[in-house]
Amino acid sequence: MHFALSEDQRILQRTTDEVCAELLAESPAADARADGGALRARLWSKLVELDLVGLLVPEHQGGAGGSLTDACVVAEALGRHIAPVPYVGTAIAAAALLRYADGPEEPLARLCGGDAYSVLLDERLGHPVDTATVAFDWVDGARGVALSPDGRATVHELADADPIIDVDPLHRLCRVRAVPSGAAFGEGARRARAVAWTGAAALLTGLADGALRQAVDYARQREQYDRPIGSFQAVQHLCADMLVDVETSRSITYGASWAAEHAPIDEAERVAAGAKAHAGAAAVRVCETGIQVLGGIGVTQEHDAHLRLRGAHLHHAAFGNSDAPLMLLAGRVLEKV
Amino acid sequence: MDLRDSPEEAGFRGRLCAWLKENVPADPEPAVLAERWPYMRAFQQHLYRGGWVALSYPEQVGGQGLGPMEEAILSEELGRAGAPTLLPLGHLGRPLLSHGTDEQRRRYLPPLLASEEIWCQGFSEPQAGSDLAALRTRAVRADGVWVLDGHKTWTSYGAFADFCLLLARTDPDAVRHRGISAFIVPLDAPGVTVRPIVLANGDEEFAEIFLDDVRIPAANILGRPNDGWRIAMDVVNYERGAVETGYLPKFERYLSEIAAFVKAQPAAPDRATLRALGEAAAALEVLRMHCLRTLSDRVSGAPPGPESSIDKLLMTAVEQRLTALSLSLLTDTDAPGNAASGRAEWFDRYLYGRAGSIYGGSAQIQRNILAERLLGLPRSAG
Repeated sequence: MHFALSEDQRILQRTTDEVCAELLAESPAADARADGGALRARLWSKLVELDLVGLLVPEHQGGAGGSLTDACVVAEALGRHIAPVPYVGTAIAAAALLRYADGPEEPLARLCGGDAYSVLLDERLGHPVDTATVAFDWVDGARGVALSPDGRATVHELADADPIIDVDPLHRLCRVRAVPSGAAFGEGARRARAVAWTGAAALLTGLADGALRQAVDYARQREQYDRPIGSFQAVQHLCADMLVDVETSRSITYGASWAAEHAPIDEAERVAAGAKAHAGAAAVRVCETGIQVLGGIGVTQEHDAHLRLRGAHLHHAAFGNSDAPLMLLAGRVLEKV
Repeated sequence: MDLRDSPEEAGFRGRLCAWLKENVPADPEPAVLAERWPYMRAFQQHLYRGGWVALSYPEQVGGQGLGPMEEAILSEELGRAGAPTLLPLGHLGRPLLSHGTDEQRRRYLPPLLASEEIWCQGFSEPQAGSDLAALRTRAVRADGVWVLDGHKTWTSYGAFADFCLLLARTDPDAVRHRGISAFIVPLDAPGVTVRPIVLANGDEEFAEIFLDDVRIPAANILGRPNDGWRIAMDVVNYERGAVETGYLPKFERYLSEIAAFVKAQPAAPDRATLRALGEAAAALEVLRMHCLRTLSDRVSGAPPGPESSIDKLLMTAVEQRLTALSLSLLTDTDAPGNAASGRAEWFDRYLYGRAGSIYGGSAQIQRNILAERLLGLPRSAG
């Protein structure tokens, strides 16, 4: 057993961080709310160019043949920078569904080339039982990927796309004409769900880590009573609690990144469920606490802290809302005794 | 990342599981410490004779010469097998291993690891709790002996112990942290008085130790004179980890017992109960993965440092969550007789859980450490 990122994965982390820092220095994430998709497109094409969008797609299907851990490293960095791209929805959730639930091959290759595929969910952002009606991480012109009633992933043109005003303007939802979807939940679909949970957990970990860094930087500089506010224990302890949440999210998320891909399906689901449940709740807490440390500026549109908190809530709710992983875990515990 | 067992690890796990299947006692762990102590100690000694204790200690001192990953596997499988709680004293061998002389290691480590001799930790004093460096117990050198005078408190298992790893001030003129040394004190030495402290749950797990003109051989100093603070910090960093102290399997057992209770109810559990169970299970998954990550760092050669405060806060939170959950479930179910039939035992565990955020450095001290040493926030003025 060995639990650590490889040297290559550390380079991947640095690369993604640098790409985000560079592009988001020119125009901040908040711009993506009203620039007609320009920033999203720039960042996305950069990720495509670096072969990061096709990480989960095997090489013989046109992808980069990376691991879920690689994809999580990227997702975490994107979360850290609040990057307004549909990475979790397209490069992780949709790709996993196509790959693990016997989807058609061609869309996988097109996805690697940058075509947008939104994963299709139900009204509560859960995995649909009979019809899928909401495209998650939707962008203009995206196709949808859903689990069809026969248990295979299928691709759909999205008719009557009707964007939804939801909590997170950087990761959009869109109501689409209902697509029949399956209750048949075979092993492939279960694994795809575990991968989606883990991907969301990685993004959530990144959102939280960014909030922690912002809070700590601010607490070191901002002075009140002639001292940096970071020298007050009341503030220090808020930051320490954020650190515990971030590091524990990282532990369970990277553990899940291995398990969801390689472990027997029951274990894969169990660890991924733990990651999604913990990283989701932790990210919401950390982003809230981050705003508290920032003080007044944290609750304005001038700061991006609210965008983090928005992203945390959206991804905490994604893929079966925040309860689905908990119900799975409870079921397993009761089964065992 | 590769969380699969290597062939050696898989072999180890297989042998361990087979052994546990034959050797985990069928009778339940007694609720009262006076009965639980001999039960725990007997299992620990049995486990040692089976070759499953001190896995990552060198063979010369009674260990198994394996690595941290085997410790992780042990922890996992003990939990799965519903084994008795381990004595949470395994970390006390670490300072002897790192700082002891050859002679000290030979003399003290084998019986310590075999639980033939029990050790305790004499750090806190009535005036020196969170501010450990304020300790006042003195050690003075006089013809071939050290003479100790002072008063230690909150010593876990002090009333059961044979030896105490004790901190005392050896240079009253030095800056606080610099004038402290670590000693090996036999608790049957003349002048030592041990008085048990009864905890809120009735257990006599802690003790006070009074030292009145206690003379111990000069050779009983651990490490160099006035180097005790470094040793103390090593000890607490190990103490704050979940694997060394064997808490992970204990928490797994708590969760199984809670689940068994829920399942035994005539009515199917409601959503709130399932959610709470799910959260507890998620917390255990987090703890398990966090331990694996910590141990992998250990394999790479990094001794535990200030990040062990994360482990400690996590461990405390899991224990307090589990014990509070058990109480709320027992209280809220409609089944007749629940309040009267088992709440007291869980209440004792819950009370004990409150100690988790106090001993080994309070939760507030852990947060100070994280803020200043890991996050680099300015030193606090209080």
